[in-house]
Amino acid sequence: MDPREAPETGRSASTRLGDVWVTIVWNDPVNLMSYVTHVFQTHFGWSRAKAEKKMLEVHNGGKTVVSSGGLETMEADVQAMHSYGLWATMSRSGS
Amino acid sequence: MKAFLRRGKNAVALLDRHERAVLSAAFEEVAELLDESPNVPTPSEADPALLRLLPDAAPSDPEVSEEFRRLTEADLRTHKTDRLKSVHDALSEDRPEWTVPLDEGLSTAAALTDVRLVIAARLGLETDEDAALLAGELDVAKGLLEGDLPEGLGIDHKRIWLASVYQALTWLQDSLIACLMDKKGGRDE
Repeated sequence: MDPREAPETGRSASTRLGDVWVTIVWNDPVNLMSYVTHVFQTHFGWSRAKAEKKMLEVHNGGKTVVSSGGLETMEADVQAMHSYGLWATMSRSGS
Repeated sequence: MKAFLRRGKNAVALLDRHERAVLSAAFEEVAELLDESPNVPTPSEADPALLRLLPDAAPSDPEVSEEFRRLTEADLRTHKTDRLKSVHDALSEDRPEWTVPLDEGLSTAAALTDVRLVIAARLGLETDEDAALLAGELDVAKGLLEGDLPEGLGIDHKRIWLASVYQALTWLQDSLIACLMDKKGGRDE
């Protein structure tokens, strides 16, 4: 009856594969502002200005989204952040 | 102890024998924690220090978290342990200079972070306010120890000791990063 129903069911399987994920870096009392900036510049290739802006979002706002993309790409970013000792998590975009 | 300063392609700090012994032991202890602890079980059961070194990657999605641990935990442990051991070895050399080539600076800074994360967990530092209070706590304790007050009044010696090590590591890391960022300066603005 409702023509929108069929595509809707079909989508849920494919969205899972194609879900967009985000990597979030959270504030913590240990990591120095300069260190976080330096890590952002090194890992993401950002300019000093952009890295500082994102670092301040973490420091003042408690968290910031540092990247988005497929699950595997985000796993690599989270692993890199954990390797540097930053507190990072990932979640489905919009969740 | 003298903080890191640039010397050519190196950053160099100065530490006396006692300071080197204390810090190299701290690096070794964290390496052992990573080497010897079993896989992180459910986050609620894990040692908070270990959980801070190897955090839960997707708290909203346990399946993804578990998969992440399966894929990355062994590599992360090895990577961190190697880095910590290499700093431990550098600090075990019998000379006052702690020389860090600038291209190894980030790896050393990351090892410093790992040790600070573990000490912070032991000290119960969870917020920026906790960290700020620690400095005050340390000053008060030093004042009490140097003053005429009865010995040990209200002082948790172990905590003050840990806090002093934490503060020294923070100070060293800060100066090391300043050397690294100085290297980068001007290139990316």
